[in-house]
Amino acid sequence: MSSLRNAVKRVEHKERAQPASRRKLGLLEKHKDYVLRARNYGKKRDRMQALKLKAAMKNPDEFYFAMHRKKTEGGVHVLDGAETLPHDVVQLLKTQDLGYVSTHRSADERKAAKLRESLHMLEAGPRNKHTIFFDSEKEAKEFDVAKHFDTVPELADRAFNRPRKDTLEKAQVTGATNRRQLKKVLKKRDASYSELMQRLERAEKMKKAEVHLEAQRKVMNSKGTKRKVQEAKDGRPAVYRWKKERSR
Amino acid sequence: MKGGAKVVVEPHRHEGVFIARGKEDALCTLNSSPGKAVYGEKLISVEAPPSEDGTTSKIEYRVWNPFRSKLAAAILGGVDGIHIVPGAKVLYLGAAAGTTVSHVADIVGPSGCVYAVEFAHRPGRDLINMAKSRTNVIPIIEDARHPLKYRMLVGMVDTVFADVAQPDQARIVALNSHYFLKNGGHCVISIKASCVDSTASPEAVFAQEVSKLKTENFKPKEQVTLEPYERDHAVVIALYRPPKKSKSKD
Repeated sequence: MSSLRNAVKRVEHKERAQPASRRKLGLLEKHKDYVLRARNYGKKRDRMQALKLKAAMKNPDEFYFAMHRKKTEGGVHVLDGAETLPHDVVQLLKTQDLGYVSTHRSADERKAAKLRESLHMLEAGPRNKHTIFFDSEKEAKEFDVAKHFDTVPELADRAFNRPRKDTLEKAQVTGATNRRQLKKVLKKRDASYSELMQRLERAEKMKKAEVHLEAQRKVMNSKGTKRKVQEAKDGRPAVYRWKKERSR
Repeated sequence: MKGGAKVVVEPHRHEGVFIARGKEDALCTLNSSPGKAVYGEKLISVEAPPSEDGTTSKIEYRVWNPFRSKLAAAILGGVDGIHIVPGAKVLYLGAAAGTTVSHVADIVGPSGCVYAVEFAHRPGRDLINMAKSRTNVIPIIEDARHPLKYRMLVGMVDTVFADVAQPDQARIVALNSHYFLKNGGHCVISIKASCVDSTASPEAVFAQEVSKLKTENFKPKEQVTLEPYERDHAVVIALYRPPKKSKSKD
């Protein structure tokens, strides 16, 4: 069928390009261009009508609290605080920000180090790698943690302290006997652990902020032509390279 | 103290080492000079179980910070044996200001002895001050590369501990072991990967150091890395001149 349809002469295209004699008048508008233009016109007309209506229906006693802060100049609404600070003031503020962030970061790190002195993350579970060397494959295959460390199976996974069997028999745990009081103390310890973690986390964040501020300050203070050689990524600021210039 | 002790002290796998659980969660050793802290560490005092005649006494422990001491980090990392036991004689290379040495001295006790070698004078001064209150510590301000210089001071030892952070650390340890370590003694070496080779991966550096030890007649027993206390550090424990296996089994 399609071959037949192709054989039939189709309707001639009615829209033509601008004739050569009228080229100086520019491109000839086509129907689809007209549609766009007409829609745009209609939209603007409707909007204007709506605004005119709104203005006509305005209540002169209308009040909003925001009116206290806003004003018009020659009938034009102006925004407050839109003006930018001068360059040298921004520079000074960035230096102060940097000082503030680094002071608080070092304070956090110092306090975390103080806490860590007696909080040794015993229950956190082993995060290291323990390699034991054997003479033969057979020994390695027969390896059993509890047997190798001469301890009871319940304590085999407790890397920070796997008491030997004879230690368990002979030595005894000393210290607090009041269970309730000890529970209270352990609660305090958990609180200290959480403080430690929070301080470390915050110090890390502030370290990142410090790097960014430092980079911004360097870019602001710099003279000469610079080029960005690496985009900012993974929380690190962008890297710039300056054109080398003789200083004299 | 009102209401009794607020801490529980449990004995550790390694004799002379303890774990305190209470407000703190800490590794500690018995304080051999009660009431005095060496480098500002925390002291924990606990009532000892009453003796037969009913008298009670206090025992004092010192907190041992694994973030400052590689040996403490290795202990919490779960090593099988540190070979530093009551009565042992230990050669300690790279003693620095003597913070870890003081804990080693507490472990070996009055019958043991720690020969602490440090080359730098400034930390050496602190080391000597520490040794004043711990008579089982013999401070030696010499270069560990030249064991001949202190051969008159050091006798045969059971264990060599090294934390010298030098590229030729294995050689230094071997040299000292050939002079002072008894056959069948142990060496405990802390390796900082970036100090030996900063370009290679840490695992490769540790393996390289272990193979160096093997050529010096050491038999590696175990190796622990020190996370989360240190990054890219490992402690290797090796047996020196292992006794020959008897063939009676065959």
